[in-house]
Amino acid sequence: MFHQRNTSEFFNNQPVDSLKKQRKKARHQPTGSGVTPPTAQSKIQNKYMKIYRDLFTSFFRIGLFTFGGGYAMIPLIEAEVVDKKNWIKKPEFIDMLALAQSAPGVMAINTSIFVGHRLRGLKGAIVASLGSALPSFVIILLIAMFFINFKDNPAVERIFKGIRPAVVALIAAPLWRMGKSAKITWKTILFPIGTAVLIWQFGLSPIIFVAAGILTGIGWGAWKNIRKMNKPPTC
Amino acid sequence: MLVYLQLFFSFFKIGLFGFGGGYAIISLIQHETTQYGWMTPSELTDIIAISQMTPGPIGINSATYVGYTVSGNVFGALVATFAIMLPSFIIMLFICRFFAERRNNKYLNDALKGIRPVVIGLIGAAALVLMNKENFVDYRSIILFSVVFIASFKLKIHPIFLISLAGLAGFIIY
Repeated sequence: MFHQRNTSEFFNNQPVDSLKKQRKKARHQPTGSGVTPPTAQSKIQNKYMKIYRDLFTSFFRIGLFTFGGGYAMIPLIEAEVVDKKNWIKKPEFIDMLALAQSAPGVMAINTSIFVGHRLRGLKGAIVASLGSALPSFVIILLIAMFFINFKDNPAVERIFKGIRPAVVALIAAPLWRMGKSAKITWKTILFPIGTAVLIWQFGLSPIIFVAAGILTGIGWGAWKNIRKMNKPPTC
Repeated sequence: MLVYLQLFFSFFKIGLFGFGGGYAIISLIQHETTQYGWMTPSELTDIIAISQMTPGPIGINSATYVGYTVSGNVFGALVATFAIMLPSFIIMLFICRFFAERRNNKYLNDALKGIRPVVIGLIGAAALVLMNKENFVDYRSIILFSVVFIASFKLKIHPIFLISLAGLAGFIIY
């Protein structure tokens, strides 16, 4: 009976305010057995909206608490998405991560788009990625607004004089390990070195090298395929 | 108006070709921003330092910063940040539609194999470009560089800690 009244009012374009009142009333009514709760419809709506809110707050938290970007974010995202919220099973999450890592763009954004899309399609992807981008957007905006005033402060200048070479060292330090994990040998080391020197000395666009890498990779794969097919059968 | 268009296309390109995460994106950002004279290499170094010390990815941080400083208002920051995120949307949704079932797509794997050495080259280029006279003012800079390099490479000390120490050292010795 309650349910009927609720739906008919829903179709009569009732104002939002009375829906709220009804919900309040419903909270005080005991839910007897066999009686459909009066707010069944709005409850479903609430649950639907709750996922968006959860997605946003989860990724907002991830964006707010991960320093250093990219790889530092992975454990936090996993804890939130797999362990805490149970949105995605672990094997699927690992597959997702591999794709998000290999796709271009900011990895944290890619991952949030994936998770959001997996849960609620395009809308979910938008909500999740906005959540993870918003903290850094606001923080950097504030810094950009005020850093300009501080920039010529002698103390700040001294601090940054010390920081600048350190940052360059931090960029250069992982190169060796990365080269090893990419299985670069003394022969193939010419490719990364050539890329680096051409960009550095001649100001060539890095995009050229990315495109060349893609084409070379596909071409090399196709070439190996042809060689394999032309091999005489071994038995 | 032109500035917003330039911001949009520059950061769209960075988002579209920025393979290999944070440090590899730096050389793309560096190329795009020096092209228009938006930033000097030492400003870029400062932003990387700030990015390491604040939450969030380097790509988003530098887009917001450059967008704001170039246009002088929040709208520019919004345009640049939106532009760097947009390719991710297009590509991710494309992957979700077409590649989700064929995760071991041959062409995709071959392409990624080809990109890997390039990514290392891009990071190397970023490091080389930033090794300039603005960032390395004297012998003390070289000492700081060497100490931080060894501390990060050999001892694997956390970047935030190292940057804080370097800042403190700079404050004391200069």
